[in-house]
Amino acid sequence: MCQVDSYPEIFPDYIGVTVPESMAGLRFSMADGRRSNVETRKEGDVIWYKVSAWNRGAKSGESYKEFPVYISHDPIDPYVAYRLIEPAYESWHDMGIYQRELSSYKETAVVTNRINDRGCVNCHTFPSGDPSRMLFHARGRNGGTVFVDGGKATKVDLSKVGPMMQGTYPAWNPDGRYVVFSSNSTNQSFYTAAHQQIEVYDKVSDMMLMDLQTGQVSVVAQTEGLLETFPSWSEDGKTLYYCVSDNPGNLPFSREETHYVLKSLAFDGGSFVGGPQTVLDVDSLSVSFPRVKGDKLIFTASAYGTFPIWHKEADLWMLDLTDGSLRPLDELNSDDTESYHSWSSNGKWLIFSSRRIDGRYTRLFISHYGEDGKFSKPFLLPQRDPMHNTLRLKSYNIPEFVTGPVGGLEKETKKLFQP
Amino acid sequence: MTDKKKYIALAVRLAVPVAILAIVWYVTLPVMRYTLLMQEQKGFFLLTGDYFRQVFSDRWPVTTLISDFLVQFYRNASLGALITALIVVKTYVMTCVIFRFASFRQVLGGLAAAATWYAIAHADTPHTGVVILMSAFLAALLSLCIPYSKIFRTAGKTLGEGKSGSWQAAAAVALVFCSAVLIVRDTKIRDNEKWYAVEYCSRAHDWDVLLAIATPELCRSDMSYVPYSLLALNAKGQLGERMMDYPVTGPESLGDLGEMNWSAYSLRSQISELTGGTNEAIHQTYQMGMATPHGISFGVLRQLIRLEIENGSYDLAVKHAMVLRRSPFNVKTADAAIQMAMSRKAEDADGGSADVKEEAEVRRADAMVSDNNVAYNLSAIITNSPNATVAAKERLLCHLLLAGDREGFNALMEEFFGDVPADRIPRSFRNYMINK
Repeated sequence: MCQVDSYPEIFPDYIGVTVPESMAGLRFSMADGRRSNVETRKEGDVIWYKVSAWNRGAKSGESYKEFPVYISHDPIDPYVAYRLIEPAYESWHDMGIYQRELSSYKETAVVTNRINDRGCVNCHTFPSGDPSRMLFHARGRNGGTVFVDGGKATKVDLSKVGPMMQGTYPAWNPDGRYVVFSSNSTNQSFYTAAHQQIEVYDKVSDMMLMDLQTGQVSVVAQTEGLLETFPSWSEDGKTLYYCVSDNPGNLPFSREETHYVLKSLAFDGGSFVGGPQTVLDVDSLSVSFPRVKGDKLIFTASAYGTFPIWHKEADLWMLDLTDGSLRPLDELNSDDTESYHSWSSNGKWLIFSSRRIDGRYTRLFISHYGEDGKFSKPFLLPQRDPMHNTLRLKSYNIPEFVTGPVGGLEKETKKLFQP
Repeated sequence: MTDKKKYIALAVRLAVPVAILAIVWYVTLPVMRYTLLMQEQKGFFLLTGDYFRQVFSDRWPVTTLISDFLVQFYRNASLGALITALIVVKTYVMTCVIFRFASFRQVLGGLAAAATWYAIAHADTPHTGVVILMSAFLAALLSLCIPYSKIFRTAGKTLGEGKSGSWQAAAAVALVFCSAVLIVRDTKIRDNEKWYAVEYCSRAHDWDVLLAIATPELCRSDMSYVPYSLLALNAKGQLGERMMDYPVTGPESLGDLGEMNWSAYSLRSQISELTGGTNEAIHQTYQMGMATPHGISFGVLRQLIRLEIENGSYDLAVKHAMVLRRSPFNVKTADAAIQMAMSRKAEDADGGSADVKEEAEVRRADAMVSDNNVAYNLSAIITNSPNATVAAKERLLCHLLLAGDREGFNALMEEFFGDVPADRIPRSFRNYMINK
């Protein structure tokens, strides 16, 4: 074997990443497709990987410099729930909400669109990652919002109750009683020739609050001339963060004038008090998906608009709510899109979606948040076969940490959609 | 029976499957060549967990798996015809096994083979044939558990005593031959084949063959061929010259707008590719995938790879090629695509990639695709797309002409044909200008 004084080029790139000790083993292959052999040794909290690679049929190959993988003792939530869907434009085929056990490679369906005759199932959310309670939307015939509590499912057509808004992005208050929904009139247009192929935009977006105890739905924000969206609660449930843009009208042609700023509303005793406060307004950034853990707020920043997954320039940024300092998370960002993200329940891990591998199929990356306020090098969600990431022809949407396994809901929810 | 007669009887019995194989292959290949090729375009098979999960959550998983596996070989129509023939022959053999006690078993086998072939010829995928074959196989297995020997000994016969003479063999072959006649004369099969031929040729950019099939006469009897003929003319740079030879009724004859099914998406993707609207071509190609049972197909993958390389999405092209590579019949295509994507990527890297600011500028200058204004879309492609083609200009002029937009037409004629001598201006355009 010829000794090479550099790290091997492997896929996925796990060189120097930090993983939770409960994580399933990291499996990788040579990026250039050569055959490889891996030897590992553990030294304290570091696993050293020694890789040798050779061409098929060759008598000898190259032996690369050992690379480290750091083990963190900070626990991670044992499951991640996400939606799998073709990264198509207008329509889809099979889609479903799935859960992945992080200590193994096991992936199971929570609910698929077979329940509603291949309609859409989306926007799953859990109150503080509680697997026994969940909601998601099911579009199409007999559509509605499905609430699951302890395995029992009920369906509500939000467009027929209260202010008659349609529920889109949900945010479940940590106390589990209230849910804020944005109500978006979402449209999409296609670019004729640009590198970006699609623009998705809201012509109208407002917000409403649902009290799950009484079933009452009330308006939170419905301001003429404003687009209000992406609700998200603080950890104590006393502040609602959301994004607001002036509605320039004439969309999609004026799309670059939609510039979302971050605002907040105080919440106390089941109602909002006071007026909206501006939290962040930076000319060059349009804010989406604010997510708070303690005094740290991470959001997706794009040049304009409300649907960053189709924006190559979209990156993750972090705002310190105590001193207002703001920085791009360069240690997580890539040249391609970074979009949806979610904190683990202990705030030590972040999972986010990125299109960095091929520019189209969204994949999930996990990163450790260190004591120094920096994130570690993100690692691709491990799979039993590294080729899985290439061969899977679906994108991952809305990754959310869950504190336990979610019971299969297919049978329970299917009843809700039978005519 | 003498030994010689026994050998002759055996030879006759063995000749029947060979004859059936030959007839089915020989007839299927010319009669259903494009039908088989299009089945492969819409088919898909992949050895991954996702694929198996999807197949096993639907009905008929085992037969779907076998059918999907077989369809990848249909990329070579001759192999497709051979697989069809083998299914028919195996059905014949299984039927003979099931009725092995009967002296007329070959006739029954022939009947089953003829019916199977007829059913396969009318199906959209090999699935029908596989279901019949598997059913016959299971029935044959079950029949082996039936103690025929005891039953027929009681009746004064023993197993294997059923005679199988030349006339039964001839009858079996004749039945299959009758099926061949029915298939060759079947209007639906012929119409399907013609349609698939046109559709396939448009996908393979085989414009001369397409025009030879979709003639003005055929278009007059079935207007759904018109957009394909006009697409071929457009690709050959003859749309302005020969468009009016076809039964054109208006801009809708060009087929840029229309239904939401595989054929319509396929046509629109070809139109967009031809005019240089690569984004829209990719969009329509993804939509084609959604119209297939697995959300993707071999034909869709190959087309995506081609467009992604053209569009500069090299990593995506490599990914799709790696997926395609899992099909034995697509390894060469996939390897060539990977090589091309990698070398183009390297070339682009040498030339320097556009930074984010430049990208933003491009976006700002770019237009959105309109749902119903084809002339606007074509103008936007001509103005903004680096891939815009001469075909886009010709097509835009035809749209304006057919829509009666004389002002727009004249302005563009001045721009596109200002310096061209009148006798070299395409006939339709010249006539329209003269009649103003």
